[in-house]
Amino acid sequence: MPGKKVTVAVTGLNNVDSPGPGIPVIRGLLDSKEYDVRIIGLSYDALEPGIYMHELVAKTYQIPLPSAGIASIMERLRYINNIEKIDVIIPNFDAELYNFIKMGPALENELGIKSFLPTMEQFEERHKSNLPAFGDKYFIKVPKSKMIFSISEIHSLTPEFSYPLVVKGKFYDASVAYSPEQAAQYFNKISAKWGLPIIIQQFTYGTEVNVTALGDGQGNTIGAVPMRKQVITDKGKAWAGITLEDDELLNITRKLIRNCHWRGPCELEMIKTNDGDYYLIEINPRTPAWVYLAVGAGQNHPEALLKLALGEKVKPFESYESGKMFIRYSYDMICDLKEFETISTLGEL
Amino acid sequence: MFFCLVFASVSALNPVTFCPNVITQVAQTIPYLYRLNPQKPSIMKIKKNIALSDTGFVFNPSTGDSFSVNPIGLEILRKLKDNEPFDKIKQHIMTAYSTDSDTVEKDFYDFTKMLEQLQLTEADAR
Repeated sequence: MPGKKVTVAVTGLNNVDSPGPGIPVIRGLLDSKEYDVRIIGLSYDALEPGIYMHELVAKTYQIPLPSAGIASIMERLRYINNIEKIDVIIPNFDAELYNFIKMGPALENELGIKSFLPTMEQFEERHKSNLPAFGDKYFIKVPKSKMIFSISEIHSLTPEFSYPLVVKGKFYDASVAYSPEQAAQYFNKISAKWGLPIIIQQFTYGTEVNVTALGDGQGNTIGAVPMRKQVITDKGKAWAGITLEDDELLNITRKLIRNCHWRGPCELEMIKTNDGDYYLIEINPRTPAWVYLAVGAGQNHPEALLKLALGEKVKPFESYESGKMFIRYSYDMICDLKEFETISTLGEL
Repeated sequence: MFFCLVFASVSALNPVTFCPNVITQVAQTIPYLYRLNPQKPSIMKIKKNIALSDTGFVFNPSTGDSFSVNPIGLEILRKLKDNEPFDKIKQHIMTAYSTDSDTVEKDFYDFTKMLEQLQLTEADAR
């Protein structure tokens, strides 16, 4: 039965070794039984694989980088919306969320494009640099961490911190340093790519477990699925993972969403210590790239997100299947130069 | 008869096979300790949500870990899951595999310690 027609614009089409969440989100949307979804891809680079996945993405438009500013992005979205009549937009990169949260009211009022994103306050307070304060406010354990702005601060990290410690970029990247020399090396590498500050976090021994979750902004958890990475790439990304049955982790997630009234999708990155304690090491304010595992396990978070954006009432998911696995693979698409030329020169394909 | 409970972590990258009673010293020490303290190995409870398949595949949904266990190991795991007393399990293994009491006790002790370490027992339930 064909569902209600809806046009959704999605970013994060870089389905590469460190994948953006765009393609898994699109797969979830296209799995919807209630909606007949037409996908408009929004890309930043002409070689993002999603641009060429025509079975998933109806048409793709290049958009300006977040650093170009809100005015420039709005202008581009006005042009795209004139052609495509977008109903909902789902931004999937941390780095673009600031602009999209800011533009939210204008997008809805001026262009009629809806979204369902965290509030600016939520987005700001869960920043890696603010995580200890976030943990205190919402009663969740967080490893000790601090921001540093200069490489000279590395030598004064002890005795406050002990090695190993984690050196993190403000948006992406994290490396474990076992000595001040290694920490300095990672400081240079990460700050060159993502800028300052650099976040220093005490390393916590244990198993990393992650949760993909969706909050309705009223304190309710619409869905939550925990996962453990089974294969990790050299960039620290999951290449295979498995859903877990972990009531404690789900309780922590629900409590956090209830206390902070989280709005929209998020990923909690936690460490479970050998003593059974959970430490929050990061909150990503968007859907993770492994979200299609949640869809496969019985919770279609992208579809629920679409409903929330459309202002519909969404019933929280009550269960999911544990022991469901995902395994990524690489696949060579054969593309015509003409398509690359079109997206590179005209900015749309 | 020498029998060994194989408990291997299932991982394509790093397969590990544990065979605890190959270390002679341990094999000799444990029965000695039993003689000093003739307490029977306590029966532990296997977590309720542990999945056991006929092929010997063991899955712990709390941690996402999976293992493979040999047929004797699977038999013992099933009996532990059914809360069978140690004496009954021991008697069954001795009869079915023509082995002696000391060997069964020693291997049973090693095996259950391993289950504990791998967080498959109720005592580790968190």
